[in-house]
Amino acid sequence: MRRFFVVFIGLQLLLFGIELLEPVQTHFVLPVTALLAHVCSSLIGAVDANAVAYGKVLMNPKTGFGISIEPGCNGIEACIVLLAAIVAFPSTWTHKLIGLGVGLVAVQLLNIVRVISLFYLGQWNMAWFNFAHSYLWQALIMLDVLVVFMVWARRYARPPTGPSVHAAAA
Amino acid sequence: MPQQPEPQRRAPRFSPLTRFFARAVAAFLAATALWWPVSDYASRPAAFVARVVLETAFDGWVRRTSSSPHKLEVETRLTVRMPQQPGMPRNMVAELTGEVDPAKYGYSLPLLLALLVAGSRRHLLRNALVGAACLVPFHAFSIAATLLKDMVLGGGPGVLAQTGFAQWQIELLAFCYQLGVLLMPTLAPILVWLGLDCSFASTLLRQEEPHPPSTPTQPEPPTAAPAPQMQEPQGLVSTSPAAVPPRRPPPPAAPR
Repeated sequence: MRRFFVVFIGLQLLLFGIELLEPVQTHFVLPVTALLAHVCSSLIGAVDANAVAYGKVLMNPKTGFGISIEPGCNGIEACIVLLAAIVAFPSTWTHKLIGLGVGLVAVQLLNIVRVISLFYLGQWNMAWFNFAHSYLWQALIMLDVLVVFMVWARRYARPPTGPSVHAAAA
Repeated sequence: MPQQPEPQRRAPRFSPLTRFFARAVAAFLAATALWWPVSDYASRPAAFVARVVLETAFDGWVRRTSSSPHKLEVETRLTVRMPQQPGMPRNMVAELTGEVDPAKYGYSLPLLLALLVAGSRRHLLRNALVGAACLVPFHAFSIAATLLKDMVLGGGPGVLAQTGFAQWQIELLAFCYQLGVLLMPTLAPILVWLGLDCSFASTLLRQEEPHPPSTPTQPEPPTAAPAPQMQEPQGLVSTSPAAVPPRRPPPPAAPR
């Protein structure tokens, strides 16, 4: 367990530092954030025509209200935490890749719900928007990461091989 | 007289993990609603630690710090040139101050409490107090990093030059700010909870049904052959047969 935490925290700090580099921000983070805004506006557009995406901004052209998806709200940090946890946990690389593929999608799906809910909450009541944005959703996204990791670990955890296992099987 | 068979316990509809997640979300919403009115008081230990760190580590340019409801203020010796305005003397300078609401990053406490309530709930009060104390350094880190970033990086090149920070220190400050704002308030309570309720987390990962604290564990029925004693290795992953999903019994043979 100590090894898991050392690898988890070390990998996380490394990936977080890489994410903050200017080339990574320009060529990866900003395009992913813009894609997120675009996906949210497309989903909203299925039921409500008053949503347009301009880069990383999701806006209601009628009222002029808009939200800018900034670091912390694009789900990339949550994905980094999940990636570090899955890589640090003992399992085969095939299972790790499965977990990463499914897990990152699961995290971003909830993040889409976050962005859309904040878009409407902000148009309704700014006090509730600030509360949900600053406190509620931050924790719920990380709870989602925890549960996604636990679901994956329950299914794909590899028991460690060692003398105690071989002695019991003999 | 034949004995009545014991009534079988109905299998839970949802998995232990689903029930844990539902409890955690519900408990977090309730804990946040309870924490919100007292968030200022709950953040004062972390605010105190942040003040001590700022006044000690940066005493060259931090003049003093002060706390008031929902505000931690830092007065510095860093000077900034005031923009020219009508009626005001030219080349006026002012001393930079920074302020932050310490409660802004204090929501790690309700998240920790929610995880403890959703978990085993063993020694709940003790774990809550110990966990809250463990969160104070992380919370203080977030407060101090935000203040330093706002003052040093937000004050402009003139302020930056007065601090004497090297380029790598500036980059480190930016990194610490991002860490303190984006990761620590949500990740620290999860890590603290894993440390306090490790056995419950291990049980969830082993696909076992966790025992609630009020229900005593029932003795195992006697078996024909005694099972060999296995020493479980340290760690989250168990070699116990319970980690392997049980095989489905074969369907009963159809009567002829």
